[in-house]
Amino acid sequence: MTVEHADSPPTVTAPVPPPRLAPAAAPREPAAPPGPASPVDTGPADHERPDHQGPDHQGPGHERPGRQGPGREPWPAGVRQIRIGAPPPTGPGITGTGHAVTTVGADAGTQRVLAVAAADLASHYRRCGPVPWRGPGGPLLAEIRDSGLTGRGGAAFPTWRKLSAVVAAAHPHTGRPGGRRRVAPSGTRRAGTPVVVANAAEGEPESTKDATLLAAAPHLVLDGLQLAAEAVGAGEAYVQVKPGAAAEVVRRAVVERRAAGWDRCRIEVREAPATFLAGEASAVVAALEGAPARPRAHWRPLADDGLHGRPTLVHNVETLAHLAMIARWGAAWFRCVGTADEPGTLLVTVTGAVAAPGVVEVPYGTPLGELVALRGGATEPVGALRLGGYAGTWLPADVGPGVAMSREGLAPWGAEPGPGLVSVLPAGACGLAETARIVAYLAGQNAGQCGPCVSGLPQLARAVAGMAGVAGRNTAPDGENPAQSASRALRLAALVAGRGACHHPDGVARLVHSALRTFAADIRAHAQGHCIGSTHPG
Amino acid sequence: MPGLSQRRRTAPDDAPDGHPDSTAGGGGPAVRPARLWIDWTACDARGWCAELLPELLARDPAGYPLARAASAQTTRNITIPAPLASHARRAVDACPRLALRLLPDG
Ligand SMILES: Cc1cc2nc3c(=O)[nH]c(=O)nc-3n(C[C@H](O)[C@H](O)[C@H](O)COP(=O)(O)O)c2cc1C
Ligand code: SF4
Ligand code: SF4
Repeated sequence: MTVEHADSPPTVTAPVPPPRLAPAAAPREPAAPPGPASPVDTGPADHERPDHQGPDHQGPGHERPGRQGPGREPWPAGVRQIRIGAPPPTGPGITGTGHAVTTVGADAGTQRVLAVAAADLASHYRRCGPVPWRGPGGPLLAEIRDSGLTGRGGAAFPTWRKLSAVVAAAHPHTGRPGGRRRVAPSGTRRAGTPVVVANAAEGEPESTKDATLLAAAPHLVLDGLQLAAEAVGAGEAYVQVKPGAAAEVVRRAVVERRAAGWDRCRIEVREAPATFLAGEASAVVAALEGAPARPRAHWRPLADDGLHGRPTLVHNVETLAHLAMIARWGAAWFRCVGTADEPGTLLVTVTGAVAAPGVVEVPYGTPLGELVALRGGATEPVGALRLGGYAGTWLPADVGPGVAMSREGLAPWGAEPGPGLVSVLPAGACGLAETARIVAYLAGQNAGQCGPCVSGLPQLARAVAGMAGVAGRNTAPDGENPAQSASRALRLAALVAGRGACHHPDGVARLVHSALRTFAADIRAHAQGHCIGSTHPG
Repeated sequence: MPGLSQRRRTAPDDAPDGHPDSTAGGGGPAVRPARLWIDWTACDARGWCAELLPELLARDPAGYPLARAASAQTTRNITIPAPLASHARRAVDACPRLALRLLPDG
C-alpha cells in the first residue's frame, strides 16, 4: 500500500529563513550547515538546501555513539540528587503552562520541538516563520521519508508510509493527489476525501508528554497537522485531546489561527474520554464518529477505511510536531541528532522515584542514566525501570544507566521506547506488587468486546496478584503458592497476547512476561515467605 | 492441554507447510498465500472454525480459536498455506458470527 515517489523529485521551495529564536530559547551554539555532518546520505534534496539551519543541532547527542553496550556500572543511588519537592533546576529552556519542561545540565542543547515552543501565534511566527506549504503529495512525503521520522504514539511506524498509504487509498489510480481519477471499476468503493487526526488522547496514565507538548507548542503541532492534511489532500482535520489545560490551549490556538487565516484545512478540536484505550487509533476514529471510544475490529487499515469509511491518517501530536520541523528545516537537519537508524529527538516522560518528574526532549540513543539525571536523578536506590509505560517492559536496574534509549539499545532486553516513558521503581518497592497493581488497572480498562481479552485479562490479573502475595503471609487469592501463580500467569499471558481487536492484551502480556524475567528472584523470595522489597505491603 | 480438540482430520501440527505433497486442500490449484483474520469482537467461541480447520486452529479452554503454530504469536491474522485455502474458505463460510475473513497475504 505504498506509492513510489521516485518519479516526483522533491521540488525545492523557497528556503525558509532560519528561525530567530527568542532570547529565552536561544541556541547554545551557532548552528552549522547540516549536510556533511549527516550520518546518512539523505538524497539530493538536502544538498540543495545548504542554508537550512535548525534552532540548534549541535547537542552532545550528535557525537554520542548510537549503540551502547550493556553498561555494567551500578546505578548511582542518587544521580545528582535533589530534595523531593524542590522545583526542577532552571535552565535555558521553556516552561509550559503548569508543566516544567526545562531540561537541565549539559544536555540542554538537544531540545528541538521544545526549543521553538511558543504558545501564541505571534511568537510562533517569530520563531518558526510561516507554514512551509509544499503542495500536495510528493515533496513533503519524500522529505519525511528521507528524515526517517517514525510515529511517537508507541508503535514507531515509519510516518511516510502511513502518509503514502492514505494518498494511495484516496487516489488509487494515480497514487498522488491532484492526479485525475478515472472512473472506478464497478464494485470498487469510492474512497472519499481523506481525514487527518492529531492524537492527543494520551491514555497512558503516566504519560504527560503529549499534554506538555500541546500546552507549550500548540501551533507547531497544528502546523504539522496542516502539512499532513496538505500532503494527503485531506478535507478535514481533527485534534482528539484529553480534557485538561492542553485542550484549552489547543482550542485557543485554533481560534487564533482561524482569525489569522493561517490554516488551509479546517481543524476541529474534540475531547477524548480519559480511558486507557481512548488513544488507540481505531478508538479515536470511533469517538470522532460519535460512538463510544472503543477500538474496532478492522481488517482494512484506517488508511483505507477510517472515519466514515474515508482514508484516515491518525498521528500522535509529537509526530506531527517533528513533521512540522522537518518541513521547515529539512531531513538532513533532522538526522543531525539521534542515531543513524533512529534519527531525531523524542519526548520522554520521566516518572517514579526521580527528583523532578516531568518531560525531557532527548536524541534517540541517550543513555537512560542521563535521562533520569535530566529530571534531577533518582531519589532512592533504583530497583528497576519500566520502559514504555503501563503496557511496557520492566528492565532490571543492573542493566546499567548506559543503556541507550532507542529501539536498538533496548532490544536486548525485549524493551522499546514505546510512547516515551521511563518510570523509576525504587529498590525498596516490590516490583511484583507494582506489576499486580498495573495489571489490575489494565484488566479493568479492557473495552469489553473480545472474548479472550475480556475473560483472560481479569484471570491474568488474579494470577499476578497471586505472585505479588507472600507465601504464608498474605494468602494469594486463589490459595496458590506465588511460584504456582507465576506459572499460571505465564500461561494466561500467552493466551491473551494477539487475541483481540486491538493490541491492548499484547501490551499486558508483554508487561507480565518482563516482570517474570526481571523479578524472578522476587518470585522465589515470595514463594519462600519473604519479600525483597522492603516497603512491600504486609 | 485441557479443552483442546483431540480430533484430527489430517496429519499433525507440522504438516501444513504448504508442501505440494500434502493431501490437505484436495490438491486444488495453488492459490496465492492468504491469511485468516478473526474479528474478535464478533467471535463467540462456538468453535466451528477449529472443527473445520484443525490443522491450524485449536480451541482455548473457553472455546475460542487458538493458533496452533507456535510461531504464530497472534490469532489476529493466521497465515494460511496454499493447500489449506479451501478448508479455510469453508471455515469462513461456516462461522455463524461472520467473524472470519480470508485476506490476501501481505
Ligand atoms: C491500547 C493502545 C492505546 C494507545 N493509546 C495511544 C494514545 O493514548 N496516544 C497515542 O498517540 N497513540 C496511542 N496508541 C497508538 C495508536 O493506536 C496509533 O498507533 C498512534 O496514534 C499512531 O500515531 P503515530 O504514527 O504518530 O505513532 C495506542 C495503541 C494501543 C494499542
Ligand atoms: S482486545 Fe480487549 S481492549 Fe482491545 S478491543 Fe478487544 S476487548 Fe477491548
Ligand atoms: S466459528 Fe466463528 S464464532 Fe465460532 S469460534 Fe470460530 S470465529 Fe468464533
